[in-house]
Parts: sequence; C-alpha cells; structure tokens
Amino acid sequence: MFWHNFSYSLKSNVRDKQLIFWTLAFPVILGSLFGLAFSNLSGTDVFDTIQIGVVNTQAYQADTAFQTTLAAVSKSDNTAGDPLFAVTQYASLEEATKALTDGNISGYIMEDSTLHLYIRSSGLNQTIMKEFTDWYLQASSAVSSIVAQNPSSASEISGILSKNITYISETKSNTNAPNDMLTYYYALIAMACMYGSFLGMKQVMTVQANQTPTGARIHLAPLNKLKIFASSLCAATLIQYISILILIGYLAFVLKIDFGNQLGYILLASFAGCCTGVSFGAMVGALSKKGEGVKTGIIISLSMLMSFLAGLMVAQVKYEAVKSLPILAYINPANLIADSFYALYYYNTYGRFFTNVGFLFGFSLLFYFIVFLVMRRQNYASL
Amino acid sequence: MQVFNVYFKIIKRNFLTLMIYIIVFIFFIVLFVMTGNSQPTANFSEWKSRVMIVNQDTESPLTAGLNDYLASKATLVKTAHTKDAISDALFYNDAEYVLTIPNGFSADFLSGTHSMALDEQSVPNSTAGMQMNLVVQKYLDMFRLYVEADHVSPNDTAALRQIADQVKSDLKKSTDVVWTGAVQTKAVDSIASYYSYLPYSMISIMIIAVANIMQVFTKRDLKMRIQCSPTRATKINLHLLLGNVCLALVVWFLMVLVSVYFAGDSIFDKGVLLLIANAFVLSIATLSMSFMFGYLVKSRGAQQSIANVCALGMCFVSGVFVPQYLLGDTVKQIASFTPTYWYVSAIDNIRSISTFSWANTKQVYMSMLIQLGFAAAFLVIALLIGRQRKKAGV
Repeated sequence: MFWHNFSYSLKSNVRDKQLIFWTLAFPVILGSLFGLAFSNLSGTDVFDTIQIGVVNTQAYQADTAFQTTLAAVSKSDNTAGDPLFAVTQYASLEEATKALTDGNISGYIMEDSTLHLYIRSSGLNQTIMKEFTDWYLQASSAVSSIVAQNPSSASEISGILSKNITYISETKSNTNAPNDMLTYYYALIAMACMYGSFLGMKQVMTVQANQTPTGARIHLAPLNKLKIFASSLCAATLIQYISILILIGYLAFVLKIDFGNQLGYILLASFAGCCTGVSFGAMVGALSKKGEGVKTGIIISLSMLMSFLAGLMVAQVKYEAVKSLPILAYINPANLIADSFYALYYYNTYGRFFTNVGFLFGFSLLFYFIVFLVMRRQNYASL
Repeated sequence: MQVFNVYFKIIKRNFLTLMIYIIVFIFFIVLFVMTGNSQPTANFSEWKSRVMIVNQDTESPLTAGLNDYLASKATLVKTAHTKDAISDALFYNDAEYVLTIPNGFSADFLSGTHSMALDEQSVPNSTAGMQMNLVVQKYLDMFRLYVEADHVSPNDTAALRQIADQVKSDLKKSTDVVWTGAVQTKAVDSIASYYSYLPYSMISIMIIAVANIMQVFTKRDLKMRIQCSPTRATKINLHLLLGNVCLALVVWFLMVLVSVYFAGDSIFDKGVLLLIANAFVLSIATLSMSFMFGYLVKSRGAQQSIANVCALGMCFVSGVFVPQYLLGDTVKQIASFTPTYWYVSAIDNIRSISTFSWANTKQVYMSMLIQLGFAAAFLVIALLIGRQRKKAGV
C-alpha cells in the first residue's frame, strides 16, 4: 500500500501545475532574472587601471618631478599587477573636458601654479586620483616644514623619500574569493526549499477528511493512516528534491554560479533543505484549521520573511540580521539553508556546514513531531 | 452606466483584499527605499571604504595616528575577534579591508629595520584594497620621513607625538577639485529613489486587482448573460476600461500620497512634479497591460503567477532593482520592450537635469510618450483578444 499511494501522490503532485510553478518554475525564472540583472555586476570590485588625463600645460612640461612620479605609477611592468593609472595627455583643457564628458577618463589633472583635479562624478577612482595628487602637496608641505625646523636635514630628504619600502603584506586566503552576489543565489535556493511547504501542506490536506474530499475518501479506507501519510510525504519530498536539484543544476551550469566543488555535500544540504521545507508546510497545514487560502498566505509570508532575512532581496541583510540577533542564524530555516551553501563555498572546514545541516534535520524532526501530535487519532464525528 | 456601477460593486466587495495588497506593496517600496543605497552626489566627496583595524600592537603615537588617519579616510567598522567573523565580514562587504597591526610593529618601524609588515586582507585585487593600501602607505611614508630626517629615537614618546601631529596637519593638504558634473537639486534626489522602486508595487497591485475584477466579467454564465443584453460590446468594454482607469487613478494617488512623506515641502519642485507625472503615465501603461492579462488569465492561481513573474521580471531587466547603468547591453535591449524601462530612464533623466528647459526635458517627455505607446498597444491587444474570444463562442 505504501508504494501504491506513493506512486499516485507522485503523479497527482507532478500534475498540479500551480504547485510545480511555485516549487520549480518560479525559482528558475527568478534565478534567470538575477542572472540577467547581475550579469554586469561581479559582486566584488576588481581593480581596473584608472584612465586619467593630464593637460599638457607649460607648468606640467616644466615639472619633471611630477612627470616622473606619474610615469612611475602608470608603468605596466609593475610587480603589484595592474598599474594604478593609464595616462593620456591632452593638448588643451577643452580636449580633456570632452574626453571626461564622453567617459573615456575618470578625471584629469591640470597643473598651473598648483595641481587641479577635474572630475564629474564621485567614486573610488576619483578618490584614488585625489589621494595621489594630494600626496604631492602633502609631501612638499612636509619637506618644507622639516627644512624650516632643521635646515641641515635638507640633503637627506630626497634620499629618505626615494627609499621604497613596502609596509603592507597581503594575506592570501586559501578559500574561494568573497563574493556577496552569491548570497542572492543561495537565498534563492533557500526560498525554493521553503516553497516546498506548499507540497507539505497539500499532503496534510489530502489526508484530512475535513479539508478535502480525497481526505474523506482516504479516511474511509481500512488502512494505517500514518503509513499513507508517510508515503505521501516521501513522494512530496522526492518531488521537491528533484526540483531543487534541477534549480541548482540550472544555476551551476547555465548561470555559472559557483557552489564550490563538493558534490556530495551539496546534495546533502539540498536534501536537508527540502526536508525542512516540506515538513514546515506540513506543520502549517496541520496547525491551521483555516482554508487553503489562509494556509497559503501564512506560508508565503513566512517563507518570504525568512528568505528576506537570508539575503534574498539585499545580501547584507543576512549578515546584519545575524550580527544584531545571533540566534537568527539557528532558528531561521532559510538562513540555515543559505548558510550551508555559503559555508561550503567559503570555508575550508566543515564545522559550520554540519551545524547548519544538523539544525535543518532537527527542525524537520521537530515539525513532523508537531504534525504527528496534531494529527494522531484525528476522528470526525460528522463532516 | 450599469457595467461601470457593477465594477465598483465588485471593488466594494473585494475592498479588504485590495487594500491589503496595496498596503503591503507600498510598504515594500518604503522598505526598499530605506535599505537601498544612495546615488552619487552632486559634488565631490571622498569615497569611504569600510575598514576594520585589528591592532595587536601596543598603543603608540604611530598606531594611534594611523588609526586616526584611517578613521578620517574610511568608515571604521567594529573589530571582529574571531577568524571566522573576519571572513564573514569580508564576504558580506561589511569590511572591505582588514588591516592587522602585528605585535611589535611600532618598535620595528621606528627602529628603521622595517622587517615587519602590516597584514592586509581584502577581496583580491579590489579597488578598495588598492585605495586603502595607498592611504596606509602614504601615512607610514610620511611618518618615516619625519622620523629619519629628525633622527628621533624610538623611545622619545613626546617627539613621536609631535611627529604624529605634524603628519596629521601635512596630510590635511588637499588638491583643488573642480566638479564638472551636473548640479542636482537635492529635493529630486531623495524622492527619486522612492519613484524608481514604485513600478514593482504598481505592477503587482494592478495585475492582481484588475485580474480579480475582470474575472467576474469573464465568467462563462455571466458573460453569456451580458452578451445577450442590448448593450453594445464596445460600450461594455469602454465602461470596463473606465472603471479600470478609476482604479489606476486611486492606486497612483495613494502612491503619490505616500511619497509626500518623503518629499515634504519639495513636492511642488519641478522635478518632483515630473516624477509624479511619469508615475501617472506608468500607471496608465500598467493598467492596459493588466487589462490584457485580465482577458488572458482565467484562474486565480495563474493570476498570482503572472503578477509575480511580470512584476519581478520587468523590474529586474529594466533597472528598477539594479540601476540601468549596471545592466548589460543585451539586457537593456530586451528591457527596451517594456514600459518600465522607459519609466526608469525618464527618472534617470529627471535626476540629471539641472535646469528645466525644453531641450533638457525633451527626453523625459519622449520616454513618457513611449510608455503611452505601450499602453495603446496593450489596449489594442486586449480588445482584439476580447473580440476573438467572443467570436470563438462562449
């Protein structure tokens, strides 16, 4: 009887277009939209050589020191990777202004008695340019104040300034590079898992005689209700699991989202997420005595809230939420799901991953236990 | 006027449901505006990266000075104490740059051996990392210049403190920055983000509301009854459309009303008025789109699907959630077939206008006209579908 009911609930669930839309099609569509909208955003800002201009004024021609400095930071054989600037010379202010308006350069430097920086937007590139030109003024201010106090040091100064000392060493992390764009996709999987609630809710409604005609019919049959119910839930979880795997496959192979490369762990996390989603829906279905509309409303709003806190709309929300209320990391199922994928991608150790997955399975058990308490020995005097 | 009256009877009956949707979605805009990041400003301000300093060294004039300088050049975030917490902060961009000052760094630096280095963690090869490296390097170079030129002994705290002060004052010297970009009025800027998030809610509300009401008229029995009445089909459609226009007006008005909260006194600013007009044009376009879906979509469940996919889809590709300048060219080409794309580009135009001359605002009116074109196209399709359905029989 278990397999009989299993195959039939498999069929009836797959044929429910609404259900398949929300559990499979909608996440895939939303993922594609993310892909379209974020295609030009790398998530991490990667440094590109800054295009700058210099107006070839007389003062600039005469200022060989400045020319040398500028040449030094725009040399391409710099050991530290890309050079800081790529400099274009413009014969007149008008030409430089035109290049700036056309967006060919981030800004340009014009030198007369002092340096002027022309820009038309405010950003990191412009700030770096200013940092650079500022240094020029700051160093000369320092030199003049040193010489004023201690004239004898004048001869040493150029020697001190030309010494090239690196004070900073970069710690290369041995994990995958941080990329907060991934949060959106991980939260999307969390949302899809939580949408499995619709499946769970449907299974509960199909066995409740006061909710659906099917439930009334099943109640008439001389069968172990727990067995029937369990086989429906297994079918629901299987459908949900396949949907999630399709979604992850789509994200990984079509949209090229990085999940790390531990397939076994990814499958485990997805399975944990599916169990939690389906059991959550079953719990809502069992606890609420209202109609389908209300139950759907509860599931949609709760799963949206959970996904929002897991970073579906704004990636930083996940981080800030957990930072200000640490318990959210453990009681929000969507966060646990998203965080499992995050931990797989970003951590070399598995402690965090297994904590998350453990909590997810724990939640499923808890939800099913509640369902069991509500549904056991349910009888209907009259329908 | 019977059809028109019935329309309002249906609205009355569904009033609560409609209001819930309207309130929830307007709340969404407010939420987006509050969490959204601000747009570029109208004059130069230095970009402040988010920096975390982990100081393992003893307090010295050097580290204190560096700390102060970084505080002025960056936004310092709270130091995290575990390795995992630092990694998390880097991943979620809470800290773009983590600078660790190792124990004994000051002593080593002042002795002139420079065998110890500060330890930096950032996203590999990021611009923020580049900038902060420049800033730190600058401070330390300057400090070294004073120490070596004045031959200050590493233990002379008073002299070091004096150097820190001198370095601080030297580093205040700043280049003259000439701003050649547009000068914006602040009024438009603050309220424009409200209006740029508006389409998502507008589309969701309109599709759900209109489809809900139209459903009644497309029910088989009712449709048959209506069709055998002596009222002309064109008239019925016209009345339905009129009812929908009223609904659109109410939704638009409510949204404008909420925006007054964000705009305050500047609601009569020319730019803000243009934004309101633009939103009105969009409401007409979404209305006729919803009208079309009302004919197309039968079941209540399908309505929800269409409303979600349309609202999210159009908003993602046309620059509502992600600014248009960050979208790829292909995406923009696809997006130009949606009215929201033109709505958003009109807002971007209004934002960049400094004086409201005809030459400057022409583009805005063009975008509005294109939206109206979409409205007309959707309407024609809707009426065609309506006619075809009728021909095909009930």
